[in-house]
Amino acid sequence: MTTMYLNFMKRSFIYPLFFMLLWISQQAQAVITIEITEGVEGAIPVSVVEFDSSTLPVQLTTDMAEIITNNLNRSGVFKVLNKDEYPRQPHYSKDVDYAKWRAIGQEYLVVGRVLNKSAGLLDVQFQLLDVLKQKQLLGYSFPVRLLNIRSTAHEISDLIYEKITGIQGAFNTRIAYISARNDKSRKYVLQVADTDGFNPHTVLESDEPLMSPSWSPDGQSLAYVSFENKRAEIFIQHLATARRSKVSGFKGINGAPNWSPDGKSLALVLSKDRSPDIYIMDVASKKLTRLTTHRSIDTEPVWSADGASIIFTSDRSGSPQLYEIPSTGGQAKRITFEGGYNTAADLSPDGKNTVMVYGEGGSYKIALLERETNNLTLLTSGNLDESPSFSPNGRMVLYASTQGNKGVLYMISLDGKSRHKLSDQLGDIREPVWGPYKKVRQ
Amino acid sequence: MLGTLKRHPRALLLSLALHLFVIGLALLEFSGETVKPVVSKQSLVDQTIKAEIIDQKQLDKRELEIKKNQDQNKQQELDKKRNDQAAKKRADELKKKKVLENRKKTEADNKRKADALKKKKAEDAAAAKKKKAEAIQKAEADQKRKADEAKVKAEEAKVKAQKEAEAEAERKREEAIKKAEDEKRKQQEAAEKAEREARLEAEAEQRRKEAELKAQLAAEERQRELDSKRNKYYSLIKEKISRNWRQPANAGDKPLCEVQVVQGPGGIILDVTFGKCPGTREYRLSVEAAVLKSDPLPEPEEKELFERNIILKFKPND
Repeated sequence: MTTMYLNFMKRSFIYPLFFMLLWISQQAQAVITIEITEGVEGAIPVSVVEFDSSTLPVQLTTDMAEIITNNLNRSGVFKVLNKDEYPRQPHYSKDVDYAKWRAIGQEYLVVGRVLNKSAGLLDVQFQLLDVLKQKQLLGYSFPVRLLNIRSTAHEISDLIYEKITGIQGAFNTRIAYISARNDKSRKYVLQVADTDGFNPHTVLESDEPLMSPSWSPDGQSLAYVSFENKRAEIFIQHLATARRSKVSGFKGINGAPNWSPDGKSLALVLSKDRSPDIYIMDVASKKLTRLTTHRSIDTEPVWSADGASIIFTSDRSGSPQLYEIPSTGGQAKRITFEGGYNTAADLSPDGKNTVMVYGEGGSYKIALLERETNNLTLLTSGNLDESPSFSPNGRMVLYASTQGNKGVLYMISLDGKSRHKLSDQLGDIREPVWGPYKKVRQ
Repeated sequence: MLGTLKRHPRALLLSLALHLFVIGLALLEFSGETVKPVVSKQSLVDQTIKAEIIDQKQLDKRELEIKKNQDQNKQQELDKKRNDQAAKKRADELKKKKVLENRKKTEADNKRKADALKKKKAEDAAAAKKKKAEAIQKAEADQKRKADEAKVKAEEAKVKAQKEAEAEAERKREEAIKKAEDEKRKQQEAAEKAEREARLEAEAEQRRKEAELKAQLAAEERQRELDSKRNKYYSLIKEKISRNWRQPANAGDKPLCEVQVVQGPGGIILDVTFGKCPGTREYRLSVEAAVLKSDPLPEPEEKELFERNIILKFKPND
């Protein structure tokens, strides 16, 4: 319709017609509204079909589908269908009969294959399929060495997780922890492993206790406390080169190092000036800045993600509670008021949540404190849970619990509903800490 | 003359007979033209005779006049007679004797005629009188009769009139009654008709109202049925989607999320569009999945309840 014609007809015809049509369209589009308020809270149903590796010259010992399955299940976000219930075992999207997967309530499907790319190099391909929309959401091909096939599975897990939750996955990261061997050697071991507990690497082995590992923000180094010299000293060790250096060996306590988000500083606890206080050390210059001066015990400092403040534990009120103090110094403010024992804080990357050990009546549990509302919820129900540590995406918490006489690692979702023990590890495991994202993706 | 007649009765009779004879002849003659010459002779004679016979007074008068004339003439004639007396005395006497005889005869005839006439006149008069009397009598009788008749008639008329009046009155009364009755009946009929019509109208109105009420009730019933089915329809949709809504277990806030669904026949979902929907991707996807899993959406029991466009508001109850 031309403008002229429109102008010509406007007054006499178009406007009334317009309103009439509007009315009709409103009639026709008298959209009904239905409110959906009920719904079963639950994980996303997904199936991960075993990756086809039948064309490889050697048999693959690593089940990528199983790694992905465990990761997704551990997240609490997904519920991977038991593979015995799969109607088919397709490896390509073109082979997928969506109706069958839909019929068994599946929303997503992961298919993949490991192909022989060249000598010593594999081609790992996977597809994330939307069962309801019957379309591919993701499709990747990874040229990898056999050695990296586990981390590739973790990487695929991250991609799936991010595609569906919108949040970066943290499966392909590492954890560090201290293990005390139960054998005759009674050695203490600082280890780094994949987030599923597999692929552990020993960073340091010592006859004397090791404590309080802390990841450098770039994931290249660990700071920790070692009693190798019969007293608590702080070391920094580069993982790839195993080069280590003592950064704090002051008289008294040298403990609880925590790396600043920019990686330039360490917060730590020193008792060189009588009572244990919080100090900040410039890693390069070793220069110290005293942050707290209270005569009570101040310990377990942890940086906020923006580096602006430090939260620490203090018994200045008579019982151990959490306090917050600007990282540049100033007045410490108490942030926990519930319970008689709140220690060992860790902060979520978004700064919204704090996890800590909540002790009451001789039992110690992991608690979540929402900073904004000050709501405190208990995530665990164990007796001796300790050392909570946020995943880099802030969606999971790694902690140690006591099972029998030994410590074991658990991961738990923020609502406390998804709790998984990491695969059996040797020894009595304490003080786990979740490492940062890997800088470069494969 | 009478004296003469009295002295000469035979002459009178003779004269009378003669007269009658003549009249008879005259009557005969008058009946035919053949006697005409006689009458003409008689007429001439008659003129002179006639004046003397018809009326004594006239006769006398005439005689006087004649006498007078005669006296005058006599004077003259005396003179003349004296002159001729001697000559004519014998002729006159003879002539006189003949005239006298004629006169006597004429007189007798006249006298007979007059008598006859008189008689006839008398008879006629008597007859006339009688006739008149009879006429009078008759007239009187007639009159009387007529009067009687008139009287009777009048009486009859009167009676008749009375009767008629009575009859008329009766008729009028009856008419009036009838009219009144008619009127009454008509009014009654009209009233009945009006009542009947009013009743029919009322019944019709009642039926109409009942029909209306029934229709209204049916419409309301239909509306209730539709509403019920509509509620059921919505509820089925709600239930199915709720059943299929797997809320994220670990996605933090679960804010109100609006999704517009376009469905086709058979409840086939044609399009799912997000409206205002904050929250995590996981949350949004859970909402979308809930809708897609519910494909096809439940169908209404009646086609008209089908809703092509549906807005779904997802908001978990905490």
